[in-house]
This record gives sequence, structure tokens and C-alpha cells, in this order.
Amino acid sequence: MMSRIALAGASLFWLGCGVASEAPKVDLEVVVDDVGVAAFETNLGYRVELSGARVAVADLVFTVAGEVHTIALWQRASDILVPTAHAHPGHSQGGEVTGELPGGFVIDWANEGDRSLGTGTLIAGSYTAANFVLSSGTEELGVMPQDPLYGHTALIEGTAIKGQDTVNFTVVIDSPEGRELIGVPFEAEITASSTGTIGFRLEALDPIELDSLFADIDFVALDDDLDGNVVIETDVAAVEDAYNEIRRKLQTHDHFRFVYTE
Amino acid sequence: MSRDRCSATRYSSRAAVVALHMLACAVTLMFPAESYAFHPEAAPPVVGQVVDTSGAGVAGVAVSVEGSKRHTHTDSTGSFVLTGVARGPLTLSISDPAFEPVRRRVTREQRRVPVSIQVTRVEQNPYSVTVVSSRDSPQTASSKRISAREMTAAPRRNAEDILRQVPGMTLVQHGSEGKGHQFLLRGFDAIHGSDFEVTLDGLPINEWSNVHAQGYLDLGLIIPEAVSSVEVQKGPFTLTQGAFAMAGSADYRLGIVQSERGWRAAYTAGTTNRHRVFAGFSRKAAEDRDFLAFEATHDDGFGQNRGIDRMTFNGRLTLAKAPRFGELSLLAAGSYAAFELPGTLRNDDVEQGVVGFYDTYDETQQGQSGRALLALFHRLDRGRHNLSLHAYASYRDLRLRENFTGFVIDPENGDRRAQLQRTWPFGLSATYMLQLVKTLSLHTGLGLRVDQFGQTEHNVGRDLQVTGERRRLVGHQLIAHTKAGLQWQPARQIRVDVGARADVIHVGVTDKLARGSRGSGASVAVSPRATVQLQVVKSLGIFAAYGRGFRPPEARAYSTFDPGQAGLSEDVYDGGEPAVTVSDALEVGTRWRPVRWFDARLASFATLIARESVYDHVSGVSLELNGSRRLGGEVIISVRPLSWLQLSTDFTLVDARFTQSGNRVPFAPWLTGGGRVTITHRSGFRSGLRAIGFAPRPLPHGATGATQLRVDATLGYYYRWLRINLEVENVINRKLRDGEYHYASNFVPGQAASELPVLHTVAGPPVNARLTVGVVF
Repeated sequence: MMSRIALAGASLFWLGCGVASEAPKVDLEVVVDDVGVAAFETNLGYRVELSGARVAVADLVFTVAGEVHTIALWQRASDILVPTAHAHPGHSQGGEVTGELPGGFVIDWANEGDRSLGTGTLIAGSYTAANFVLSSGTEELGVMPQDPLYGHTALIEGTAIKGQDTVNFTVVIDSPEGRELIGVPFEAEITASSTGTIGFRLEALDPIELDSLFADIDFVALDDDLDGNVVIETDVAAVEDAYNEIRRKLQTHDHFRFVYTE
Repeated sequence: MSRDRCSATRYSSRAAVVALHMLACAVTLMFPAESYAFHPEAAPPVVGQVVDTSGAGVAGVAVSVEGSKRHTHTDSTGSFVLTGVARGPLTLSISDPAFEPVRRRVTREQRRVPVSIQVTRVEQNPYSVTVVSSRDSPQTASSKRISAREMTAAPRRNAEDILRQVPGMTLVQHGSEGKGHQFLLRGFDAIHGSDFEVTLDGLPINEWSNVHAQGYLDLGLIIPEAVSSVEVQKGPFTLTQGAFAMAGSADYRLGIVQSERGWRAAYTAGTTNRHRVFAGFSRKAAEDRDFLAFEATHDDGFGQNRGIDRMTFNGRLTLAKAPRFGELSLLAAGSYAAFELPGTLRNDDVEQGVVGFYDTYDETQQGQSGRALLALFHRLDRGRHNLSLHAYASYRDLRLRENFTGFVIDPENGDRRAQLQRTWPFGLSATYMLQLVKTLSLHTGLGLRVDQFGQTEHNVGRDLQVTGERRRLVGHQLIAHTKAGLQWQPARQIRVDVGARADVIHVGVTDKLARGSRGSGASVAVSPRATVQLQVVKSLGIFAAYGRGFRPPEARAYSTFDPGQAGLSEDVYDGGEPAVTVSDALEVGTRWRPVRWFDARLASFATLIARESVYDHVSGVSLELNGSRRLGGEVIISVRPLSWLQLSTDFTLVDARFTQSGNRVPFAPWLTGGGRVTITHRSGFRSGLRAIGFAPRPLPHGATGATQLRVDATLGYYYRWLRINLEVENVINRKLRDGEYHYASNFVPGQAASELPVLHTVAGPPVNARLTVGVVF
């Protein structure tokens, strides 16, 4: 401490005006993490195995809570004010973006485990969350017009098995243009010397609440023609409720997670 | 016509007498009857004022009549009234440890008019503190009075610049001269005033819920030449300190120093095409506090987009003055300024030559600031009783158009925004002091402040077209306080002040953007305060102080506005009722003066805030943050080897951190230092040299600012009626990074931008000079 004071004092009075320094940054690889798409069982007893889980996303950003009041439950009833804001010029509010991997991606969590999405740049800090945009399949992202994902946000395919019944399903999800998904869990202490990777995970089964993407979906009931195939997509009355349920869940942060591995 | 005028004058006088009579009746009801029993046979009271060598009134000085038990103390303006004194000549005795004792013979004839008595400080130290007893306000180890002499020893563009004389205080101008400063003190980033209270002769100046920033301070209303002194109190330790005094407070006291009284005019020309005229008048009689002052300024400013045009008026007029009724005076002030704003610059753009260090990205940034103030002051000193009243009404209009982030939020239209604030504040206050016994006095007070306001904020596009409306809020805010304290002074060597104030806060707003939805709320802040002063030996004094400061919630917190939650983890509380932010502060210090020409002061301080909050410029509400604590110390050494030469140096070290994370509180320097040389020679030659600097500031996200050193100088010559003064800022011409910030920006329209924060700078002034030639008759 004393040496620091002496150094500061010396620079103060002899060097005049020194040089400001940017926050320490580190470049970390962001990869696809396929842990979250292993076979799982829904609350209706279906065992679901995914053969494809393609989602179009864009502009990954990583945020720190800063010094925003992180109070205990007992304090929540008290009368404090915690308004929040974004893009604030410089104060210590939470939700501040201090890491990013810009660009668009189509990720197939079922078949592209460990695929590198690129190198993200993060300022050293205690990360608590991440945000990204749900986009749609375009030629810029390598999705050709004949591709079933073209023009859509997500294409999830797989098999749901319950007893003797087996249903092959395809889910096509459309999200509003530029829909931002915020508050995706990302608990990590990143330092300037960090060398690990950031895994981007789709969690078909929420490991905390054990709520799956296909909770309350009765695949057999949706198979009107009993051919063992179900397509769940927008504007189809027979599957409208199922579509909305899956779409709602996919648009919450409960089924995504970023994991840092050193 | 003249008869009409005379009639009007007589009518005004009569009205004043009637008003005073009503006041007297009120006072009679309030005070014990025996104290104000009127004795027709009694001699007229002895009325006067005690002033220091600068002409400023000296508060709390004991005035007694030799050979009699009659005595009193001067009030906050240095005035006194001695009643019940026998007719005929008498001798007044002035005693106070900080001043040389004075005996003054007053003849029968001289008693008919107010008596003016000048006192000389025991030593002319700029950091001198009344070690024992100042009846007006208790002292702490860090209390400071900035004298008129100190003010003229350093360059001052405006009233804010006077505060650069305060050890440990850092001022940042992240606009141009017309915009409010950013205040940094003792580990606080008070932003535009959210944690630093400023008063003008006791009147609140902080704008409670300004659309630009909470507690916004714009001292353009105050003409520097009309300031007789500034009383600075670091920390919230005295009962007079109100809302926003979490880090400290400053009370600007208007008046013209004795040497500058009379007709006065000055013209200033500066290297930035600055032209300023000042004119003033004040009567030379020392007991007369009336004055008029006017200034008009044009300045192109340094670099780009820092021009300003401003006019300001300050004046005070004594409406009535009579021993029985006390003194009634009127203070009037008004100002209007139109100015340009440079905004911030990205450091990487400056380094790559995209913009110059003193340039701007957006030449349409500008502001207008207007304010008018009328205040009535009444004071009455009757033996053991002292009553002061004031009432004020004001109008405030502030318009700003700025863009700090470029095209981050709106890549096409840009993030430019226009803000408008209109406020009609008014209030009144009363303080009453009763000397219970010789060693004990009671200090009480009541006050009320009401602001009626309206505020808007719009998005403004590239062609200055309105592209969106962000805020349209109207409402009122009220704060009423009561305070009570005891001052105990059992001996000359010890003084204890203990008390508390309670502030009741009410805010009601209507959000016009939310279909007129209304919101309101109330809260209470109880703030205990205590100080102890102990003169251990003649050369050593010890001080201790504890106090609680507070900041009321801003008005927008009561509206239905929800800025939305982006990227916050789930353990963050996302709503609740607005609450008062409070700080608990402790200070212990000492002053050592082994010889008359040497003075050393040492103070250590601690401030704890259980729930920190920071005003967010974007959402316009306070963000509740984790608790913070500030620990630090300051040392101030001053020597006066010759009667005309004074040297001083100071260092302040503070460790300000959030208690949970251990991270430093951003923006506030952890080490500041200064050195000052003041020369005031009897030949008329005078000069000042000031070097102030600070260690790299901690910025958000782990970034750090640059080391700063700024050297300013003055050189002047005063000869009878002639005043010549040269002011030079930044003598060594360093590239001063006045403001440093760390946030995301993009100043290229239509281009996808990184969201990562980067360093931004607001340039301080390069070397520049101003020459003032003035006359006093």
C-alpha cells in the first residue's frame, strides 16, 4: 500500500498527467455444449431423444451484476428501490454488458457438440448472466431456402416414446424478429489470465426445476392420423396449444445456460 | 411624480413597519414574555456588527459591555443587539479565541447608529478553525471557511471554481461552463450534487429531482465577486446540514468584502475570446450588508463547442432594521445562460486521430439555464434569544441536448436526447437559539421546502427531429424538517454539540406518458448529529464528530416508470417502495499549532452506507446497490513564514469500497493532493499558485483513469482604486482528463457497434489566460 501511495505521489507531482488504462480483457472461445440435450423424460412419461436441435441465435453478450443490490429473501419485503437500466454510461448498475461474441449462428445442439462459435471478448469480472437474440435461418447463416429452418427460429426433431407408443416429432418455432432473450444464467469468475472455454448449452430439461421443453405435451394425442409422426408448427389448429407452450418455453432463459470451463 | 414616489416610499415603509410589527407579535407569542417586556424607560439598545479584515461578518463572537453583566453573541451575519444597557457612553469588549481581543469605546452619539467593529484573526491561516466555540455552528477537524482572500488567489470562472480550494475535493466539468459540475469528495461520486449539499445564505440550491440528475447543482446563479466566504463542512455533522449532505456541504455567503466596497467595475478579456463585464455597488459602511452586482460573460471556450453567454444579477437590500424588530432584508438573484456542450470523447478515437482531444462528436449539443430567486431574511437577537427566519421563492428552467453514447441505442437516429426541467421551489425556515444558562444553549429549528415541477425528455434524431418521448412527468415534492440540539460549553477548552433533525418527505407525481397515472409516497429521515471540540493544551485541539446524512428518493421513483430489466441475475431485487438513502459518518481529528506560523491538521474519517444508491442518468432513477464504506484520512499543513506569504499542502487518502464485493467505488479518486502559495503584499502585489492533482481514479469494470496534475496561477496588483489581475489556468499545459468514464458507445451511425465499455474522456482546459482590469471607487 505504501509503495502504491509513493508511486502515485511521484507520478502525481513529477509525471503530471498519466495514461488511463482500459479494463483488463480476455479472449475466450465459445463452444457448443451438448450436455443439455441428452435423453430425458417428460412429466407425462415420455422419454424424449432429440435427433436435431437447431436454433438460430445472434449477438451473444455477457453481463455482470455490478454492485446491484443482491439482497436476501427476507429483505425483499422491505421498502427499497431497485430500478434497473441498461446501456448506462458508466455507473455500477447491474446488467452491464462487459463481454460479447457478436454475429449470427445456427447451432445444432444435438449434433454439434464442442463446435466452436468463435472467440468472445470479456472484461475480467464476476459474470452472472448472458443475453442473446433469437433470430431466424437465413442464407447469411448458411440456411438455404430448401432447408426446413429457413425463415424460422428453431427446428427441433426427435422421438418421444411412452410404453409401446413411439412418435417422431418435428417442432418449428418462429420468434418475433430481434427477440432478445435476457438473463440466461452464466456464473463465472473471469480474470485476465483465464484460458478456458465458454460452453453454450440448450437445456431441454431444466436441471433445477426439472421442467422440460416438452412438459405437458402429449405426443400420442397430437398424432391424429396415428402414423407416428407429428409436426408442431405455427398456424396449425390441431397443434396450436402445444406449439405455443414449446415456443413460450424456448423464449425463456430457463432452457439455456452458459458454462465456463477452465 | 416625485410626490407619488415619496408616497410609494412612505407606503412601503409603512408596510414594512406593519410587517415587522406582525413579526414582533409572533415573536412575543413564541418567546417567554419576560424576555420581551418593553420598558419605556430603557435606553435604546446598542446595535452593531463584528466583521473580520475582509469585511465579512463574524458569527458567534462574544460582545459584552465592560462594567456590566450585559453581553450577547453575534449572529450568523456578525450582527448583535445589546439591550438593557444604561444610557451614555460605554466600552464594548469583543472576545473570541480565534481573534485578537478588541475593546471599543462608544460615545453617546455613536450609539445612535450601528457600530462596526473589526476583529483580526489570531493568525491569518486559510485553514484556521475556531477551536473553541462558534455559536453559529460547531467545528470539526475538517471544517473550512474559504475566505475572500483565498478565492482571489486562484482562477475562478464561476462560483463552482471556488470549491477547488477545498482540500480533497475534486470538481469535474463534463459539459461546458454553463452545465453543473460533477463533485467528488471523500470517496463519494456525488455526480451533479446527489451527495453534496450547497446552500446560498442557507437557502437550498440542490435540485431535488432534476431531469438530468438528482441533486443537480448549477451555481451560475452566484456571482463569484459577490461571495464573501464559503463555509465547507465535510461529512454530515451539523444540524444545519440537510438533504444531500452525505459527503458534505458548502454554504455560499453573499456579501462584499470591505476592501472592495463602493462603486465597482471590471472588464475581463481571455485567450478563449472571453469577454466579461462586472459592475457592482455596495456602501462602504462596514455594517451595511447591502449590495448590487451584475455580470455578463461571453466566452468561446477552449476547443470545440464550449461557448457560453451568461448574465447574472445578485443583490441584497435591507428593508428594515430596528432594534426591537431586528433586521429584514431581501435577497434577489437571477441568471440566464446559453451554452454549448462538448460531450465525451472515446479515448481510442483520440489516440487514432479520429477526433482531437478538445473536439466534439456532435456540435448540436447545447443547453440553456435560467434561475431566479427572491428571499426574505429576518433576524432578531434579544439577549438570550436569537431568532432567524427566511422565506424564499424561486423559478428554475434547464434545457439540455446531449449525446454521450452516439448510436448505441438507436443506430439510425442516434441516442441524442433533449431534457427540460421547470421547477417552482419555495420554502421557509426558522431557527431559534436560547441561552439556557451560561454554559448551555438550546438550538431549534423548523423548515419547509416545496418544489412544484415538470420535466420532459425526448429522443432527438440526426436532423434534430423528435423521434420519441421518454418522459413527461409533473408533480410536487415536499420536505419538512425539525431540529433540536444542545450546545454545552462548560469551559473554554471544551464544547459539545448534540442534537438531531427529522425530515419528513412527501412526493406526488403524475406520469403523463402513462395515461396520467399518479403515484405518491412519504418517508422520514431521522439524523442524529454530534460534535466534540477539546483544546487539550494551547497548541493542540482534538475534534470528534458523528452524523447521519441522507438523500431523499427522486420523484421518478414514485411513478409507474419501469426501465425494464436487462441481463440481471435472478437474485437481484427488482422493485419496491422508494426509500431514503442514509450514510453514517464518523470523523476524528486534531489540530496542532505549536507556533503562530505553523498549523497542521490531521483527520481520519469513516462513512458507512448500508444500502448504497447511485443515480442513473439513463433511467432517471436511483439504483439500489450493495452497501459501501469509506475509510480515509487527510492531512493539511500550512505555514506562514512571512506576513505576506502563505504556503500550504494537503493530502487526502480514502479507501472507498462496496462491502460485499470489495470493489472500489468508481470515479472517486483514492488519493488527492494539493499545494498552494498565496502572496498578498502590502505594496499591492499579490499572487497565487495552486497545484492540485489526484491518483488514477478507479473506473467501472476494472478500468482506471489517468494521473492528473493541474497547476493554476494568479498575478495581480491592487493600487488604491485600481485592480489588475491575471489568471492562468493549467500553467504547465497538460492534457487534463477532467472527466473519465467507462461505458459503451458508437459514434458511427448505422454501424453495428461493440457493446463493450471503453474509456471516455472530457478534456479539461488547456493553458489559457484571463486579464481583468477593475476599478473601485
